[in-house]
Amino acid sequence: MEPKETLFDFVQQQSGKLLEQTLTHTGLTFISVLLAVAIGVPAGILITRRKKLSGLVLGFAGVMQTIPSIALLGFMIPLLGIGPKPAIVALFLYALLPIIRNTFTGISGVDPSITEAATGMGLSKRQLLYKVQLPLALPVIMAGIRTATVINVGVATLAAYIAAGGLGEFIFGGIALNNTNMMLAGAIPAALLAILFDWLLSLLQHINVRKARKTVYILPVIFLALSSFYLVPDTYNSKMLAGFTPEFMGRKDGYLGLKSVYGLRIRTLVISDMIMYKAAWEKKLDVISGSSTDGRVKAFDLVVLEDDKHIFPPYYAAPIVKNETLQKYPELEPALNLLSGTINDSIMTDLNYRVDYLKQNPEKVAKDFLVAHQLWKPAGTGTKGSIRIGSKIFGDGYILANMYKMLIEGYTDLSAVTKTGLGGTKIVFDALTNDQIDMYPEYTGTGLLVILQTPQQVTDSIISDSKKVYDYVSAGFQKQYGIKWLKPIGFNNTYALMMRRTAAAELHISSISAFTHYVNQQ
Amino acid sequence: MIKLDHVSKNFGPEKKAVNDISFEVHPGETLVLLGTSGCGKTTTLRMINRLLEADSGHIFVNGKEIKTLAPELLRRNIGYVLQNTGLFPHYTVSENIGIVPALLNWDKTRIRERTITLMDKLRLPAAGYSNVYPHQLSGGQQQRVGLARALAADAPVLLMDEPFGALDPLTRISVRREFKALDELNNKTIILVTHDVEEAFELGNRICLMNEGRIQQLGAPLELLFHPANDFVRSFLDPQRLQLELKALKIKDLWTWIPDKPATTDNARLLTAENSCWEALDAITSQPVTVMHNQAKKIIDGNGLMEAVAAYKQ
Repeated sequence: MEPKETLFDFVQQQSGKLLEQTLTHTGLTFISVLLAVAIGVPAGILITRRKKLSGLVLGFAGVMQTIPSIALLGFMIPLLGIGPKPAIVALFLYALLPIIRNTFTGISGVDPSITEAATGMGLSKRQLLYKVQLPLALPVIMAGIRTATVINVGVATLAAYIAAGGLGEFIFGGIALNNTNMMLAGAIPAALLAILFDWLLSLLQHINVRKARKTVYILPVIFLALSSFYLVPDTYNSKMLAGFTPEFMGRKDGYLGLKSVYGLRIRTLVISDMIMYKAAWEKKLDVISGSSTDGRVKAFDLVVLEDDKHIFPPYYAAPIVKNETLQKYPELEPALNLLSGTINDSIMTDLNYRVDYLKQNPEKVAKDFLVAHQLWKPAGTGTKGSIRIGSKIFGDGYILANMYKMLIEGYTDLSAVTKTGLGGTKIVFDALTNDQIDMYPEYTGTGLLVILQTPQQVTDSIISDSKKVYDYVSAGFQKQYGIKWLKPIGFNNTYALMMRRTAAAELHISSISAFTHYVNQQ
Repeated sequence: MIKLDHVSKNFGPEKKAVNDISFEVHPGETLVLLGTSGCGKTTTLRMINRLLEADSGHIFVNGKEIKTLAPELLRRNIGYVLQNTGLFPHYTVSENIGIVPALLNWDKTRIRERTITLMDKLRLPAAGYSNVYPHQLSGGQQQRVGLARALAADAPVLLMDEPFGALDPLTRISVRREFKALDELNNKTIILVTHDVEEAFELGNRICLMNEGRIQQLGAPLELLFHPANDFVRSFLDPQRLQLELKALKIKDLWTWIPDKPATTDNARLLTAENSCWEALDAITSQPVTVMHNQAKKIIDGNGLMEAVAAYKQ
């Protein structure tokens, strides 16, 4: 076995990327805090003079604060698209409340006898503000800026979801890949940044403004300088822009494979699966990593590029059933195999499209399909016994579970219940081995990599051949768990690189090799 | 110097804080606005430097209607002393004193010299105190800095709102004594607000006694004591009447009623006729005193003095 990679190794290997992410993160934080100071401090001053407005302004800022950060980022996408712009706006809105509120509290908290004395001596409103109110409120205002900065260092990790970069790329990549080193390589610097900025600002909080006038002028310059860090990493340019999920970025059967096997060199953004398809359709991204049978491939008129060098492992779906169940009810296997070979990639995509995008009931979609393929039969007596069918939370699973229920009830005297929404692979597979369900549809690739945890050399040797993978997985499951893989259904729900159908047609690109050739031409 | 002409001020529809007030303060005079809390004395004061705007009537400072002046410019020419000093906590003592001169664009040397002069006069030697912050000073010292700040630009008019109100009784007496002795104040026109009758009688050339927004009586201390305009004035002064009378009356006021007694001993203590009866009484407790007035000499003992007071009142 290979020696285990340590956090130190990871940081060393990825130091360039880590530095870039840290700079981006710092930039995002400070641009947004700077904007919030520029708007929030004057707003706070205004509402000390027009108290009627204070409820309205503080209320607005308070509502912004209560919106969950990921939702706020989500709201920004229709307005501002993806990338730094919506992230900065969302972070700015988050930073507003502490800054406005502390400015308001700080200035309102100045001893009224001091302001009266100042007015009585003949200071103008402006002089009162600059010579008395702001200097005396400064510690409170700085506390607000500190709070806003620390909040923003935290929230900025989420910016990775909308392709704005930052340390969130490592954190979410690490979570998706179950790679603790990667996760810590993002989380530890983020925490250190928060502590560092908090400490630096705390030093500024109690300076005597009048004695250190220069510091006050230098401060915005420092903020601006830190903000400009955001621009540094953006220099690497290429014709095309790719948006990949954090998971895809870190996988060998993902971006790493694209780089090493195809030699692809492209500017990448890390983005959440939830908004990636739409962003491609809106031409914010040119190519994305996706799941080949996802309904959104159809909804957003995307086309899957052929993986002609086979870096993506086959994810053929097939029902897996415990041996005991098959022995007990021999009529079960033929009934389940009826589905074999009927659903290819584009049919599955279409079925998912109906469920995910047209919001049709999975049960209705399943029945319509069976009726159209003359597989549907009215339910039998259902007296012989009951089969429990599980599924994961994805669209594929719901539809397939419903089809199997109808086939079992139509072709045998068994009844069937579906237990859909069993979360991820681990949960549903544990349910099967612990006799809480009798069967569920699984993917060969998942069986190979996640459940059997097949060693790298073996994987490499068989991965390009879907038949070999199926055989290997069947044998392994039979031997280790006493579980049988029935015939594959036909579709391959694998990772895929996809682009807009129109763009692909225009550039005559249909495979990843062709795409790589086009991108690397420059 | 300062003139109020039928001035009124309302807070809300029903509450008349100040109701049709007119008075005039002459140059170099100290007028005390006296009354219980809520009588309108502070409101009256704050209208003069336009911290409040009068609802009706006219106010003149130095012959100019104040509404015609920019409030900031008006205020820079009026010294203002508050009960809670209102010193800037982030300014040192000398910076606090220099605020108004700086607003008036004095050059730095002039401000520094002026600050040092004032600090010396107020017994806060610049060497030890100029770079100290207000919170490092005692209450009495803070109040002296507040006074120095009001005097810094040498404004001819001084408004003082309960200037000794926040001090303990002992400190109050000593600061008040210094205040009286301060030559800087000799030519100032001063309006001082207080609720302390003794303070009013000690510091005021004239006293304006107010109640419920109206002037009850305006006159010299002796007039209020011996010719009260109404029952309110009488009852307001009653609790401290004897002490006030003895302090207000000078020996020369009683001269004709003091019985003639030939001097018996030469070593009796000597007072002038400008001393108050209170001071005379204080001296008499040990032995009779000799008083000189217009080349005449009289020996006064306790009985003689009290008889004279009783005769004066009739």
